[in-house]
Amino acid sequence: MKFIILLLAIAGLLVVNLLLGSVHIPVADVCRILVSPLWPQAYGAESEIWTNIIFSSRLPQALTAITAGAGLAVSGLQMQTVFRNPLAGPSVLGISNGSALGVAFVVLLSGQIGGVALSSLGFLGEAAMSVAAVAGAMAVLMLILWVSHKVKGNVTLLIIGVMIGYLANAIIGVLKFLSPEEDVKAFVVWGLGSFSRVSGDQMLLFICLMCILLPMAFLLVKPMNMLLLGDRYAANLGLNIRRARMMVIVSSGTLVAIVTAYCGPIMFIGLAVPHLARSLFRTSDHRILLPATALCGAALALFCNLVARMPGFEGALPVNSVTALVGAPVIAMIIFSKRRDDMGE
Amino acid sequence: MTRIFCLLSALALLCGCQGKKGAGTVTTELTAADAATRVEVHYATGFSVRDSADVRLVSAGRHDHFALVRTAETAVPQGYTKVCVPIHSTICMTSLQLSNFTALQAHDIIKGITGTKNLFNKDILERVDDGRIVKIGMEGEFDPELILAANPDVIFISPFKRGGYDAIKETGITLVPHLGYKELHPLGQAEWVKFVGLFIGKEREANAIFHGIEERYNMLKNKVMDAHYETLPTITSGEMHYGTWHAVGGNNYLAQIFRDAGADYVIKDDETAGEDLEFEKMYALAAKADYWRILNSYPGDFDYEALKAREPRNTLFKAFQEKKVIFCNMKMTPYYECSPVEPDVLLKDFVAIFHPELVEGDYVPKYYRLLK
Repeated sequence: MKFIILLLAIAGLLVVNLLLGSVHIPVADVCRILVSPLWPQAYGAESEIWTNIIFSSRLPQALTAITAGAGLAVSGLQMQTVFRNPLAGPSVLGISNGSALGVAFVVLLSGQIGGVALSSLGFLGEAAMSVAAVAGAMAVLMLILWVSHKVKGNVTLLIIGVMIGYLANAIIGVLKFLSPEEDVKAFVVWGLGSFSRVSGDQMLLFICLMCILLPMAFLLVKPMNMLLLGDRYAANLGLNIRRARMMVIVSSGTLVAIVTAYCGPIMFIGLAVPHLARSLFRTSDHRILLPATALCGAALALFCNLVARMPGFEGALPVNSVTALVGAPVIAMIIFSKRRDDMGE
Repeated sequence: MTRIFCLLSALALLCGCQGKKGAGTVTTELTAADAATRVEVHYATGFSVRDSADVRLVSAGRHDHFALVRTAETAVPQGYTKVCVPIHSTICMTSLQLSNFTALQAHDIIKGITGTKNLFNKDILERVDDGRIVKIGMEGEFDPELILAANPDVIFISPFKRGGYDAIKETGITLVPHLGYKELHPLGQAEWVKFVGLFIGKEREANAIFHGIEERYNMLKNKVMDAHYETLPTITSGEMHYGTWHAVGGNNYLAQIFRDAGADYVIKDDETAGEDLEFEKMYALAAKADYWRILNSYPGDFDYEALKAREPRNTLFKAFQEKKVIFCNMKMTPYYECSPVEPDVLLKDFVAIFHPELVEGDYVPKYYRLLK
């Protein structure tokens, strides 16, 4: 039942996302444009501009928001389960910092070293950034995996992840310092995050990648449930803890890497949505929690995208500010209610 | 005897007064030399100049007032910072300022610049190489020791940036705001060459340079106006970056050049600086624009394929489909380094594209040309 409500909410938000935007298009026209690929007679060439706005801007943006939101939320849930830490999120292992570092290398050093080499390889403009973001995230991921082989405790791994994040940030700081103003601005703009960067073939590629990666996360539901019981119980149940941990981290890290490559570092969704899903469904069984988290993530991302594009803001509000505005109160609420429960006990 | 003495002293007094009066007329009466160095501001709104007997009062913006004097002993009015001119050394914080010094052939006065990225001027690069000009680092994060070591008489600053001048202020070096970037009239920005001229004692040269720019600019502008075109080509500007479209406002410097070049800019608001617009908003405005201006620093040869690769939605624009993208690559053209003192050249580049019949057939554009 709750799933149906969630699905309906997503459908509703999707429709509103298509209807509203900074350019006013009457509802009837939006509907006619949307059905025009199936019934070409519904909407002729009355306004090519409106058709392009719907199909090249609003629809890709909404679809990107749905997939990115779901991916980030699932990734956050995986991290929280592996580390048994409610404050873990996609950024906690330094993976998003890694992709930021990759992008910083391309944006801030372009022309000096990286840009020329990249352009001669044929990766141009923003495509180069996606590649760099994935490469940066994967490099950090590999490092984390190597460390996870060496150290036993989760907390140690977590601390090392945070340290890697700081290290990446420090290098970004140095690069920023050495770069001219306009490049630094470009990097800052990338860091604001946005669902509207992807369109056309890139969007198809993004959605295809996510359609492969998200179901793969679902395959890990069983080991994740076992991990929740604690290492000893899980080991007694026959789980290879190290391998399970590694697979979940790889799955989570890849999801973050891909989303960050296409949308920039989107904050808070990964951290906040699992809590939202837990409080909505009141369960810690990943068989329910994982799809619930994915759907909540999609809904929240659509909602944030809508708020960021409210007619009054004219697209000036970065998605990251909105996700934080929505995410921060959620986190605060969770911690507050937890504290109250603890005291009640 | 006393009477004679009184008479004599009265006469002396009279003569003295007359003499003084005579001297006064001499100073207020402009010699030919004074007229050439007198600076009048016609287009720029950011600075003003007022001459009094031996002090020249210059205001930059609303809060900074300078009294330019020839000798250190000269008293200056209250509220004015005394600057002995001509200055012999300075540090430039922007390429707009550099363009003024280049135009005035005064590189020898520059002791420091922020950096050399996208800098083309051979003379400045040579001076940086052999240490006559130091790189002090980016604004807001520069090295105060290097600045102190360069010991400039004044530093030209651009207060719109990140600041970080407090440490320098304490050392007593005069900071002079150069507000050329704020000017909305293309000639207003170029007129700041006079402002720099005042400080380095090259008023005569600055006046002549600006006069030439003004004459060429207005002549071409009038030529476009006199052609009385019934329909003007429309133009859009900017590119999508990471999800938002950065466009110049309808009252921006560049928007004015578009208008003067006989084109109709799609954004018609009163915004002066750039605005970040959502794709759909910009697309609704610019989809049918005849021309599309792009300025970037693309590494390598920019073409329509590259423009498409940067953002697949770029192909939706009419100007893209009809191959009417007007492009300038900052990696290959000294745009910020030269264009502030060449609005006439910028204008001519655009007129050559919009109305080629108005410029000579063999005109070679310097900044903007149609993308091939």
